[in-house]
Amino acid sequence: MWKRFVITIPAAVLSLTLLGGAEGIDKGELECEEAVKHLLDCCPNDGPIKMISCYEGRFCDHASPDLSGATSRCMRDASCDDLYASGACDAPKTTVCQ
Amino acid sequence: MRGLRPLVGLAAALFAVAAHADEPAPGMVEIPTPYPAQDCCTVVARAPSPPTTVLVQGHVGVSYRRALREDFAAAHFELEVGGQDPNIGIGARVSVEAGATRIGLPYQVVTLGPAFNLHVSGRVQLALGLTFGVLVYQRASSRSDFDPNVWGVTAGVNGTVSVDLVRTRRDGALFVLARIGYDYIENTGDSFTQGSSLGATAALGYRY
Repeated sequence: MWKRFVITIPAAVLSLTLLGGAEGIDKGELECEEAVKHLLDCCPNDGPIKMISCYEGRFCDHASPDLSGATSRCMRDASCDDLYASGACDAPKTTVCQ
Repeated sequence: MRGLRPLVGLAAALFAVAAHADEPAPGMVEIPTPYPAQDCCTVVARAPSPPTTVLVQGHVGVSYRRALREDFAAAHFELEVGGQDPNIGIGARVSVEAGATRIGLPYQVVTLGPAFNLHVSGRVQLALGLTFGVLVYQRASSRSDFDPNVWGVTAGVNGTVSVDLVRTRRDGALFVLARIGYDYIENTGDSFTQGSSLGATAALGYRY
């Protein structure tokens, strides 16, 4: 009986997840989401940050994140003081992070 | 001396009769017995097969995962149910990881899969497991309002060594385990390495 479960359960889970529309992880999207998370933790006003879209389109959808990969990584790894001083808290989409 | 001759003759006659006791008397034919005598049978005892018992074990611990050039740390829970004998065991596992990336983005990994356990010694077990599941992280950006989760299917393999700390009378045990594993995470990249993930787990568990 348990032998049947060993085979059936993983197959069932895999089928359900595939049917459920798992779209796959995009590295650039993840880096952007982490940058946004870091900005939300650092900045006193989260209004401008909530406007950032990190969505990366799949298949025929060609949408790209508002923050490039380099900018996302820079903001993600910057200190809160540096983010505030650079103006990233007020205009994260246009701030150049170096 | 002459008085002993009858005794010597009687002894010789008895010896001759005893020596030919199994031979049929002259003029008689020996008929084989149709069935073997009762005392000829040999009883062959089979070695008893090892007792098979239900395997139920679970553990709680911490996991670290390196994937997509990012660090993931999480609490780790697992339950395994199956069967075992004194040498090997096989079961189905369900595992849950719940944690956050280095920056604090929440994520979860839920996997199911078979596991094969080898009892190396009285207290040490090795296990090989296959995993099939999903990795999910929660968005922080504007899209989080209507599409909060990003999903990727995972498939992997892991190896575990566990050492029993305290054993109970019913073959149960409190144990510690260490595990390393590889998972491939469904992703949008072109290279195989981008979806590759290495993980390690340390946990405290109980086997029923």
